[in-house]
Amino acid sequence: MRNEIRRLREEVGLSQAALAEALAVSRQTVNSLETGRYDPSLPLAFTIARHFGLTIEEIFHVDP
Amino acid sequence: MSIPDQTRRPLRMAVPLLVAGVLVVALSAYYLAIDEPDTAAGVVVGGLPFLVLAGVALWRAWRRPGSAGTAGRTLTGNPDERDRSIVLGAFAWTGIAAVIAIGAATVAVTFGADALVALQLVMLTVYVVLVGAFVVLSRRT
Repeated sequence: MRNEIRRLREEVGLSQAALAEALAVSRQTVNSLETGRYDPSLPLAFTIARHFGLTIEEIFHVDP
Repeated sequence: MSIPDQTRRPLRMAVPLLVAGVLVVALSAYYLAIDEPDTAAGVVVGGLPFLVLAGVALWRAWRRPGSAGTAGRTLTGNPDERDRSIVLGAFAWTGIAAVIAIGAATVAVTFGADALVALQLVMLTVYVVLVGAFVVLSRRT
């Protein structure tokens, strides 16, 4: 699954550590999410979407 | 999903480690008391490195929570959902390996292998698979 987390994070000028703190996860988890190595749980996906003021579908995309 | 911050409670983090240390010493003393010095040495040689490594991970997690790894956060009772998925996956692989190893050991003992050696090999296999799966999953996830 692809996602827009890195682009969104960089647009708002957050570091991985700052985003991790905001989402209450570790920095490694944010890194794994951005590189597509880890797909978040539904609650975490909602938290991420809420953090950026978007919907889940606008952030996460199923690979073609 | 959320991480309850327990990394500022070093005493709470150290208690399980101290209990484990006491258990290792007590078990070793027990084996010495029943005249099993080799087993007593095995308990110490196997247990103390683990306790030292766990202690280092705890200390790092306490000093610099942001730089703690999956193992450190898990040992401090502070895992996030990715950490939990890694631990769960590692234990799943360990379970599969244990079933296979026990089956192989049973066959080996049936054909005359020493039961104690077979049991020790099963334990070794389980530990190696647990650590290996944890490392691999941590890197891939």
